[in-house]
Amino acid sequence: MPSDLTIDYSESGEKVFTVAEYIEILNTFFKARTVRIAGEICELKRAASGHVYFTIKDKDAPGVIDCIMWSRNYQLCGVTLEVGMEVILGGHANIYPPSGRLSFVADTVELVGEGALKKAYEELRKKLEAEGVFAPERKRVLPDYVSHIGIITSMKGAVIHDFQNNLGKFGFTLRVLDSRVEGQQAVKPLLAALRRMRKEAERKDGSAIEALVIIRGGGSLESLQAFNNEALVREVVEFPVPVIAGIGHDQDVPLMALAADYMTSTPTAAAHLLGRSWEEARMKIEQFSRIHIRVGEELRRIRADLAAAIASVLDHAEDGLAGVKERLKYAEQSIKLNNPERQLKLGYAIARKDGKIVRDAAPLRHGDALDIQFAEGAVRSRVDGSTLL
Amino acid sequence: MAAKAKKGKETAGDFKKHLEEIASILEWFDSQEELDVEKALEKVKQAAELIKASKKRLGELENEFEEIKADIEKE
Repeated sequence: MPSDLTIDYSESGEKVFTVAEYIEILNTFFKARTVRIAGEICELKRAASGHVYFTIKDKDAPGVIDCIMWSRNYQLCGVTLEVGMEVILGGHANIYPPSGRLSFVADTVELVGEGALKKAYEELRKKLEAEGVFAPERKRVLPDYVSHIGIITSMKGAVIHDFQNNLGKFGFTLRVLDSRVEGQQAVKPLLAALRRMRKEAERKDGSAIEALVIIRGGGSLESLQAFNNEALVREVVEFPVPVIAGIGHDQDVPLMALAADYMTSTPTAAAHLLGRSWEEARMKIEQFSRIHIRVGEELRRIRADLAAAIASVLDHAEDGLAGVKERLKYAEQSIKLNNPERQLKLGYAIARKDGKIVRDAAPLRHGDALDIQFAEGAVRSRVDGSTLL
Repeated sequence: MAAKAKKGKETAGDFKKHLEEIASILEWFDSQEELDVEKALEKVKQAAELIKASKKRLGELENEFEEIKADIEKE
C-alpha cells in the first residue's frame, strides 16, 4: 500500500476502522490519483441507465480489470465502445462497498491507433454532414465591427500571443478562458469553457461577446481528438453568436472547425478575420480623407478661376460702358459742330439761288435773286453787279 | 425717318438701336456735300433726343453695374 494513504499512522495501531470506513479511505485515495490505462475491451454491457460496464485486459498478459463509465461521460466521450477495441481510459479506481469489488471508473476513453481514430472521425463526419451540421446555409455571418470577443484556448504556448499580436488595435474587449486543448482529456474543459462563454454571449448589459474564437496550434489527429468530439461540435453549432475556429491541423480538418461559422487555418488568420471590417473602415476613412483634401483643393482652384472670370467679365463690362460713354460724348460734340443753327448764331448767313446754296460768287450775274437766311429770319436780295473780291 | 427716342424704361434692344441711329446720323452729316439746313436741323434734333435717352440709359447701366460689382465683392 502506498505510503501517502490518508491514515494517521500514529493512531493506526490503536484505531480500528469499520470496513466501510476503510473502503472510503481507499476510495478517497484512488479518486485523488487519476491515471490512464490502456487495454483491449473483452466484455461489454450497457445498462438501461446508460452506464457502461466493461472489462479490459492486456493483450499479451493476464491482467484484467472491470471498468465502469457513467452515462454522462460515455455520451461526452464520443466513442462507441465495442468488444475487441483497443482503448486508453482516463479515470480512477474505486471499490464498490457492498461487494468489495474493485473497478476502474473511466471518465474518458480514447481510441488507440491512427486507423481507429480515422475510422471514428469519418463515421462522425458523415453523420454530422447528413444532418446538415456543416451546411454553408446554416452558418452565421460575423457582424461588422465586433468589439467584444470571447476566446477559448490554452494560455500555455504562443497561440494566444500570436492571436493578440495580429488582432489590431481597434479597442477590442477580450474575454479569455484558459482550457486544456490537447488530447481526449480536453473534451470536458472545452465543454465547460463553451458553457461558461455561452453566459458571456447571453449578457443583456451591452457587454455580451459578439463572437467566439476557439484557437490552438496544429497537431495530429490524436492530439486534436477533442475537436472531433460530437458533444463539442453540437455545442459550437448551438452557440448563440458566430464561432470562429482557428485550429491548426495536419490533414483531417477537425469536425468542430467544419461546424464552426468560420474556419481559419491559424489563430493569426482568425485575428485578421475579426479585424477585417475595422481595417476596411480605417482604409475607407483614409480614402475619404484623401478625397476630402482633393475636393478642397479643387474647390479652391474653381473659386480662383471663378474670381478671375468675374474680374474679367467686370473689366469687359466696365470697358464696354466706358466705350459707349465715349461714343456718346463724341456724338454730342459732333452734332453740336454740325448744327447749322450754331453757324448762323455766330453771324454767318446762308445764300441760296433758286433754292441751292451758293458757295461760289463767280457764276452770279447782275440782277440774280438771292435768298439770304440769318439765324433769325431771311431776306430776298439781288446781285447789283459789283464784285467784292 | 428714324423713330423718336422712346420715353420711360428702355430695353437693351432700344439702347443698341439708339446708338446705331446716332452713328447713322453722324455718318449722314459726314456724307453731305451740300447741307440741307432743314434736314440737318431735323437730324440734329433727332440726334439730341437719342443722345439724351442714351445717356440716361447709360447712367442706369452704370448704376446697375456698380451694384452688381458691390454684390460680387461682398461675397
